[in-house]
Amino acid sequence: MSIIRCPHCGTANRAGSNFCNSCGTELRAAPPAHAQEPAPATAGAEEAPPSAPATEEPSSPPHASPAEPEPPAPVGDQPWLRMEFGGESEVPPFEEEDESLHAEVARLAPGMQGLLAPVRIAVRNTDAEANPERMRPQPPHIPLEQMRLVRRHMESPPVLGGAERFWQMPDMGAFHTPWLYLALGLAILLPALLMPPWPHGAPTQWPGVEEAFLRVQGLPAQAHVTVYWAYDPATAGELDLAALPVVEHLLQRRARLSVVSLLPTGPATARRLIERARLEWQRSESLTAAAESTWRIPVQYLPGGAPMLALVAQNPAQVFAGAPPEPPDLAIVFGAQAEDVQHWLEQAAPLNRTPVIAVVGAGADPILRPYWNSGQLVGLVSGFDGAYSYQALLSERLPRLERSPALDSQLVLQDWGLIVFFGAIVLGNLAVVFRRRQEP
Amino acid sequence: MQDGASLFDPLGAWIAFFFTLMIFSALAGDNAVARLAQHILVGAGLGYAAVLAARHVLLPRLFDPLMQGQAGLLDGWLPLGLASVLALAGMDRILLRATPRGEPLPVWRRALHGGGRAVTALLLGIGLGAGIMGALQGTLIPQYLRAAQIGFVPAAPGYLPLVGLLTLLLTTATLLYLYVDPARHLQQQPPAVRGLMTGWLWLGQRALWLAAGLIFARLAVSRLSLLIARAAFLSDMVHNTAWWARVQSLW
Repeated sequence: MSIIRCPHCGTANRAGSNFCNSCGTELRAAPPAHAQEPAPATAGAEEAPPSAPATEEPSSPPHASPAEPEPPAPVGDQPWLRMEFGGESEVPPFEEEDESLHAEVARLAPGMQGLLAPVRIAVRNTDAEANPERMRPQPPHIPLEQMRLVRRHMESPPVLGGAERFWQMPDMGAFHTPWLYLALGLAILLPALLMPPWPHGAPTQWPGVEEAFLRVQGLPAQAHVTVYWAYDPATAGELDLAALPVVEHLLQRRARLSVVSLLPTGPATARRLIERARLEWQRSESLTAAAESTWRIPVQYLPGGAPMLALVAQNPAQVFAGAPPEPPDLAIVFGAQAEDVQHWLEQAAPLNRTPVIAVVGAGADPILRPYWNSGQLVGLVSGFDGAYSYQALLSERLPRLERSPALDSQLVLQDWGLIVFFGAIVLGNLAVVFRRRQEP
Repeated sequence: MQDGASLFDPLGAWIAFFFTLMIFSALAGDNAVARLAQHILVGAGLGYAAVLAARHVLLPRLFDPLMQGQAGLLDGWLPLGLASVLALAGMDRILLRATPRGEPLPVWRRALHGGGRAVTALLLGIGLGAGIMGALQGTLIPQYLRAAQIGFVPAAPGYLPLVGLLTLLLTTATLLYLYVDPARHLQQQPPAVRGLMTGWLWLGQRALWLAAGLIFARLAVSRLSLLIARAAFLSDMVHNTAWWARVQSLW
């Protein structure tokens, strides 16, 4: 049986081993052929030097026929593999380690295990006692080139299993991104300036929008609603669209809102949108009187990250002055990312068991669908299409409320942008197909 | 378009207009104008956050109760002490020169560093503990229970067991695809096992592609909405100028 010697610690391991039995160094990275040695086969091998060949018959002549197979050689530092292993006394001392191993270590520089190269572990206490100077820890010397390689490894994303094949993209040629930017910019900016009436249509109403609407519609007057405001001006362009009809609806239902945000610019964004919703609402003549009686909305900034949400759920009076001690009737998360909703569901919702509606960016929708399916979310409004559907429900059930013209113009521009995206995808695929046909 | 634009102060709106153009100029390549806008944005954002933290948290929740004698040891002096240690340790790291390698630090600096590490460990430990417990009670356990309930009950409709099996199949296929390397793990397997596993991995790869495509499509729509919001803002600003009225009269 052949063995493979660990390039790090020198221990002989069975051929085919993935990791070293002694130090755990990875052995799969195809060691050089001369690192493999035949395994010990007989007794008496320990008398021979580690590099000397030994056979089952020590008296056999060294000039054996070259046609015969080479007899297996013993390995001095792995005597426990032999049947007649006598115990610790047969273990070769640390000092007898083959110094040529360090040359192997130097060639391991491209791998991560090169980091372990300077470390020499005392296998027995006697080593330290016999040579304390040698066992004193030395600062590791890592060559500059090796450090660069390590840094590059650490900066690159981790590759799991066979996933490296996933990232091996075929040669796609140049993408001509400036032209894509120009086409997209023109497709958005020109209609925004000139406002042509077409294309038009209505986006799909996804599951979760109507449920969110009905949940808000079913709130009793003066219901206490906690709002977790998890977006700021960076994503307000999309989230304002989705949040506006929901906030309008809450104001119309005369809900008592308490707004909390973990983002520094979250409260300012919240105040601006609530003011905007109030103005939209006051456009409707019949609702003006109710608008004046709106409860003053506290907007609170809380630093400290997601764990602070537990405080909001457990003790709202500590966060909002004058808030009722009992759990709110509803919680709404306005978040740009799926993580914002997950934070609320993980930190706050298990504590007060309040039903949660998520109003999020379009990109968060696929990640939050499992929470909607599991019932942890009682409503899900996402992106522009969710906003459009919610606004349509609002206009349908409350015809006195004027429909915001912003959503109609957004729909036209969104369609133009999608046409450019679709065109780029089709053209790109056609280019790849024609290119493959031209290749032999 | 942007109905809220009427709420803006006109000067602020024009500043926003030019900052938008400055940031957009990065599309033409890295340039000083775009970098200037980014630096101002980051600096103003950090300054705003610092002022907000002082006005909304530190003053009303820590310093005012301490000055008025309303704060106790645990909810007043202890947080102040921990924050002071962390702040001093941070300033030591930033402002004071490090000693040459091997030379011991003065005792007071070692104590300060130790205190800073302890406070950091406390912060990280609480954050991680809350995060792990939250993930368990808010995501892992409810999602696991929901997945386990799909269709595997006697009274479930006929299609639900199929949904459950498909969920199980796709989940295991995706996990296998992420962790199994056919070239390394399947070579020594019998042909039947190798064929089964290869098919399973193929399914996992397609499931990943489908999920990634779905997420990417929704993300592209999301970013398109953001772009439209900025374009609509620019367009509103242009529409409100006398120059645009003159152009329209010519049109």
